[in-house]
Amino acid sequence: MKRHIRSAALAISGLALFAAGGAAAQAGAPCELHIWPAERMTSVTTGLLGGGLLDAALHSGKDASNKASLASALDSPSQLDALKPLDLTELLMLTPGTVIVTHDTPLERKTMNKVKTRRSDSTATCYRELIVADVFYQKAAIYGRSLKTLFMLRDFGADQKIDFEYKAWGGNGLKLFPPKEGEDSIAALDELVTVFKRNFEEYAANARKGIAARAPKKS
Amino acid sequence: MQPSFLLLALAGALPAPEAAQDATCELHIWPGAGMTSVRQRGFESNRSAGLIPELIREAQVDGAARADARAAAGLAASETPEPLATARQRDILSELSWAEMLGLTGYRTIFHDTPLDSRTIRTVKTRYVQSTAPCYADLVVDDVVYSREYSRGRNLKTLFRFRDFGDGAAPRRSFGIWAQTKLTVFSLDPLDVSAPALDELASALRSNAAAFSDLLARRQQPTAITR
Repeated sequence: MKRHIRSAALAISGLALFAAGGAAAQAGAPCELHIWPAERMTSVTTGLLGGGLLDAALHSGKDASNKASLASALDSPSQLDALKPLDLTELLMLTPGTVIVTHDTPLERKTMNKVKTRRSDSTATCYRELIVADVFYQKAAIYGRSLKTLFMLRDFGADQKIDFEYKAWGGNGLKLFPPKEGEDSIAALDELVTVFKRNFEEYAANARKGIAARAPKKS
Repeated sequence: MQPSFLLLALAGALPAPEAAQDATCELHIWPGAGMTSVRQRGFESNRSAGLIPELIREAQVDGAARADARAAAGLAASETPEPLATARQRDILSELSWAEMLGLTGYRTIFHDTPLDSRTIRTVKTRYVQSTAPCYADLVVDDVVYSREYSRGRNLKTLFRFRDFGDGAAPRRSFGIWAQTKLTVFSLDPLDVSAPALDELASALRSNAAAFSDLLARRQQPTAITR
């Protein structure tokens, strides 16, 4: 489903420009990167039982609260606000002058892998997409607490066919989230945004390796 | 000088909330933007390894998403498609004595009709309105969430954010926390938006507000150092 482009902003960092979708396909700004935030928030807490229905019964209340917190701290505007100030041109090895177009409405998660064409109406001759697919909190008995984020970068070039795709998780530990019962939650909620950014930087570092080594699928 | 005496002396030099009895002091309250929902299902704690378990899990996720969509469609088609719409939240919250609940006796309470957007809540560190009141505080209902939890039932969660600026330009205290109240009548799946169910939802929001003010009051109690 094509999504209506609702938001636009002007970036001052790096060489990337943020612009409205309508203005994006102008001559002189040939490359576009379209960004969508994630819709799906998941929280999984496993104790020494290692998962299963008993673990689920023990932790479902906490996991539901964590989900509500994820959806609050990392709602669509928050995800986009976290990504926009980053130097996406450098982090994702974009063509200098790439116009960044942000979409406020997440894509339907179940269509993420099925749809293989452009998700926007753009006809830009140099077109890429960055999709935040999943936001996943995990607490494991041994490994502790972490926030993982699944990102997907697609390069379409000038047409509707994917030339290059890099999909991977970025993940980092959490120190404050989830907050202890009765304690101020704001710092813990803010930490989710900080770690979300760190996850993207980790993802981008790995994506650059893939981009550098990429072999075009088509000429 | 004993450290406790020093702290008491310093505390005396600061304007205490009770000192701000002037009627021009303002407490601004913003309701939330409707009610969202979360659901935690039993299978979500099963970590899948391998293709077939992953496919089963994906099928469960898809089935759950379809069930949620059906529940949302059922609510949208009902007589009460937004059981805790902003206006309703405002009405419920305005029944409470917020100034007293937040330890701001004498403050004039001003309720706003339009919720703040999340970007404003997260990024603005000063007063949300151009109030010229000599002392100012605000309370924001950030999120109201209907939650369904495997083996635990349903509850209403509310995220409150409170800031007290006193007579300063920056908050001298702030506190944000979730409060939740169990629901036994109101339900999205199966749908129950009968009058008793809606009354329960309103009561749960009031109960969350009371729980929040209790937690704030407990947080403000003198610590062992200042006694």
